[in-house]
Amino acid sequence: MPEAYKDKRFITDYYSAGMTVIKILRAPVQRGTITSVYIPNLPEGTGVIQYKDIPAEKEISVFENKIPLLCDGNIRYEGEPILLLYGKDERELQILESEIKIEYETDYTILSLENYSQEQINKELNFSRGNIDKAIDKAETILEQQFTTSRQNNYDIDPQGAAAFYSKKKFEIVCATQWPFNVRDNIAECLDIPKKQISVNVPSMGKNHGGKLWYAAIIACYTAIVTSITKKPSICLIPKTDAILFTPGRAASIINHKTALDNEGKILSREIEILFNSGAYPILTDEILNRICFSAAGVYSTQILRITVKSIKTNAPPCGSLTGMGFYQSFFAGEMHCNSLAEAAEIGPLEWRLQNLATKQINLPFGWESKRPMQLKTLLTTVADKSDFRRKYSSYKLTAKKQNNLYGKKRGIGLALCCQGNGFTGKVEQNGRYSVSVRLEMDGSLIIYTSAIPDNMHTAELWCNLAGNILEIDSENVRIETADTELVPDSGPSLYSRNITVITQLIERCCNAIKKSRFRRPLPIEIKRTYRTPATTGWEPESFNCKPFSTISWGAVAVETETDPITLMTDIRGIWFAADCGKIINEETAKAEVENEIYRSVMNSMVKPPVFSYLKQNIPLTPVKSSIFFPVDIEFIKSRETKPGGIGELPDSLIPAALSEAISMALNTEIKNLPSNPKSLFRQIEHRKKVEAENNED
Amino acid sequence: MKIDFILNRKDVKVDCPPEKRLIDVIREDFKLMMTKNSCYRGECGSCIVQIEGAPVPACQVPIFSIRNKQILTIEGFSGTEKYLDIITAFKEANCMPCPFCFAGKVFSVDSLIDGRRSPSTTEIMSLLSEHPCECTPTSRFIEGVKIAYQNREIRGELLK
Repeated sequence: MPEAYKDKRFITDYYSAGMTVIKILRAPVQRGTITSVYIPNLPEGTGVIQYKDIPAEKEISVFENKIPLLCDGNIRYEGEPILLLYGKDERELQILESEIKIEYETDYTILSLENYSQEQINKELNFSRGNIDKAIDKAETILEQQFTTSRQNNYDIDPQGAAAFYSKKKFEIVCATQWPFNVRDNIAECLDIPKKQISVNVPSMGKNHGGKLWYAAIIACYTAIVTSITKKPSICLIPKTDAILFTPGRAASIINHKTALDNEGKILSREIEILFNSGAYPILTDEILNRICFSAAGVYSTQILRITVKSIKTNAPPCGSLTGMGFYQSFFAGEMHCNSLAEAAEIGPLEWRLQNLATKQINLPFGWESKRPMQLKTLLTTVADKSDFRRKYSSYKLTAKKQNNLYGKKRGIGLALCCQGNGFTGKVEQNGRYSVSVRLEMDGSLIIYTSAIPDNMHTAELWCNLAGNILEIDSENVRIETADTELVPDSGPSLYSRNITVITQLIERCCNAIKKSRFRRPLPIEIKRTYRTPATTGWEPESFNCKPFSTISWGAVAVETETDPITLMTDIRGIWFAADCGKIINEETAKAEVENEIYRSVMNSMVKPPVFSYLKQNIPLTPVKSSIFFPVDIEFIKSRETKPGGIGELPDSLIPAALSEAISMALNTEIKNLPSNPKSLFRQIEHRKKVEAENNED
Repeated sequence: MKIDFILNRKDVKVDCPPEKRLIDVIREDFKLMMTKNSCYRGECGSCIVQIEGAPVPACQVPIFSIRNKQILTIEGFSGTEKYLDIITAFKEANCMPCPFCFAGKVFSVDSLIDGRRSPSTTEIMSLLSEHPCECTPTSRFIEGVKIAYQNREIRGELLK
């Protein structure tokens, strides 16, 4: 096996006999109050920790939001951790668990977004520009539509958990996390000890999409609490079912669009209202609101605009950081609405998009002015030409309308266009002061110190190659040190393509600085660089002013499908993807990343919605993967942006809309919710038939 | 309960509860950590080992059922010619699986290419659908499996 693999230890590899094992007891009701807790006499070496037993801070912090480590007596979602049980092995804990009696008084629950009350609004963002009423008066066509997206679970394949070790008055925490410094800071608060007494090591991890961002800190705090009591090593491994159900997934949403068009089909005004289900404890709310607001109106020239975004609290498990957060929901609704607008204006979807595209960045809904011209038209025409969109669209449209029978599979083709903001919105990056340091050793080897966790092996390879190229060192002599918070600087959370944009830039700056001084200063040379957002950045969501992100990537996609009208099962015939994402450091690596994400997005768009119930154990433990191969064509157009940009989130924003549009066309029905699985398609077709029947009666 | 079996071509003995899972025995009693544990439901494919030459998820096998059987983990398989057929192909196609799903994917591919004909794209996709880890790009993995088959065919292994 590859030599490097022998040293790769995942969090489950840290378990050894003699460690204290921690089990989480979770609430079996969706909302209620704990009325009594009966704990039997516990054997030596075992114990129970409740909310009141947490030594100091009882909540973890994630930027401006907080979430309790254990239930404070009021249950807010099914599966909320109530108490921790620890002992020497899993089997013993299972017996003890059956002897613990917890009584509850249940309360009414709110899971859906419909009919929300004012008390449920956790945060709201409003933006308005221009006179909507005037535009409506002038309009030739007004179209109102509602779209919905379901919650999506996080299916990270590698295990989630943490281990704590204590020696010489110091805690060593091993935690599968995308944000080691957040883990350290929260443990320090929870135990009320100085940060320097804690070091956080990150084990090997698989590809993560946000499930180990802040949730890992909760698990790490559990192990730290138990070890602080027992002074023995402890480990808390999250069972796969719990990891899928309770690590933050993608928020469900309801999105309302109202657009006014002139007689040529051009946009006069847009009104957009987005409600998203933040679950019982809203986390990363500001970031989500900003992202949704930023992406709500897409990339089309819109001067008169009103956007309302509301974060709604419900009794669902907390949602948050899954890849493409906010963008996924916004672009699905926005692009699907564009198709309906094209239909209403009696123009093809490609032509409508070309007509309404923002040609300059200042014309974008978010009004960001950049010197570099956008290439949205090139992106669209690239995927349209490659997929033979015009011919296929006309042909399939005609076929779908003519064929009112169930014979043969129905084909469709859809388009989508979107952008991806790289890194966090301005304020987070400004406040964070995140750094990377690079050290050139006396033996000529190079070490990159960063707490950013490479999201895959390709990112690590990319950093090594980049540093190696700048300093003319063999990339095999470049090592990335992410292991320990005592050794590495705080590089911030590893999410939203930050690794490719922010961290890559910092590594490049460090290496360039070393290059300048390597023959003037004795070795070793260590250079540290801190990220500073450009002076022009500083997003003001209320006024839609300034740049929210350091760079933006742009993408377009065409998806061709074939749907069986009886089973409603869909096969993909081909996907054509084009992106303008700044400097591409390694095209092969970038293409591999995009291909992976396209396959994942296709499955996410078509799999069944998640199961909420904690007691319902028969949920699939792995994502449903396609056993059908489909061709994927990927092209990166020559970018005018000199910095590297992210690409991993583009498929998540593009595929759902293009895929749903293709299926819509094939089945001659309007798809307005995700996922587009057979059950959901059946419901929508039935609904359409019912509406048509009612209209005919009238 | 004492159970004898053959692990990586060596006679071994283990004393543990009969219902203990093979994956836990391999990892805890024999410290063979390259076989990973994850879902404990036979769905994720990360704990696959060979039992009497067939790929089996070790989390679904109680230890009492393997008395006197031959178990091969990735540690025992690495270095063999069959293993090298696969690894050289993965390197050539640039689709090396990550450490977490490595053992599972290698054993599944080994089983697929051990037939008498070249595996079809549909068969490879079917294999890939049982390994949900997203570390390998689909098109490259398909290419890798086909090269692995060719490697084995060239070596004459399939004619034996």
